[in-house]
Amino acid sequence: MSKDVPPALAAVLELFTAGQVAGAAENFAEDATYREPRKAPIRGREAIAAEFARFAATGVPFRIVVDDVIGDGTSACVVYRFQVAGGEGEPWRERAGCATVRFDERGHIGAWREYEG
Amino acid sequence: MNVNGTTSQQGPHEDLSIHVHVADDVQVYELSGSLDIATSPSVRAALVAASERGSHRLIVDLTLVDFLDSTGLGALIGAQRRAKEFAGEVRLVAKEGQILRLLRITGLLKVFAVYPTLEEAVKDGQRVGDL
Repeated sequence: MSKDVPPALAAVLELFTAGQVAGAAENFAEDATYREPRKAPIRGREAIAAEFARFAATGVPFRIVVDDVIGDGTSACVVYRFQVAGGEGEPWRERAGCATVRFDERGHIGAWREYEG
Repeated sequence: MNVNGTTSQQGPHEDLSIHVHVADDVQVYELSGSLDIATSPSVRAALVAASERGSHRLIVDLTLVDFLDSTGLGALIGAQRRAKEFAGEVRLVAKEGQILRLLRITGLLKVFAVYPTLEEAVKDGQRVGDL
């Protein structure tokens, strides 16, 4: 992982790699945007927290494997594999992607945009 | 590598070829074909090998790449991360089109210096973002 990864991103990745989303939204700026592939952008920390809570409520076990992070302190790019549990006895399903992340002047995540495919 | 200082690799998937040559003491990885989940491991391995040989200033020429997916981007980002750890850099060459559009959309023009031609990349000339 690059040394220039702000604490906000490090905290989010630590949660995501542990398969947790609770508390992740606290690292986003109040007016942050969060964009997943093929979905409308989510605007604002509260809405992002609600989206994370909605996902957590599904109870689907997930984890993110981070392959690389590169950053310059104002922005970063995360190369990841998003894995969700298959059915009982089935292997985890995996999607590869990368997310570009921008930070505000306070070091919060101001924009998160994922690309998959 | 042959006597001309160039080498070509055809990975296990014939959808991508890697031609390596040297321009002004910089190693140039000229890719041709699709850089995707099937072919990105070959590119990643080639770029890791370059890093292990101590080559931390590289140019990856994407001019002849017709498809680039997130795993391909991951291979390039990994190479840039390794290069930066040694105060090096991976420069990209991409002409106007699908590949450059993807680099713009994903915000990777902030991660990579991208040049419209190999000549501009070699001399650290005009970047795509400057145009």
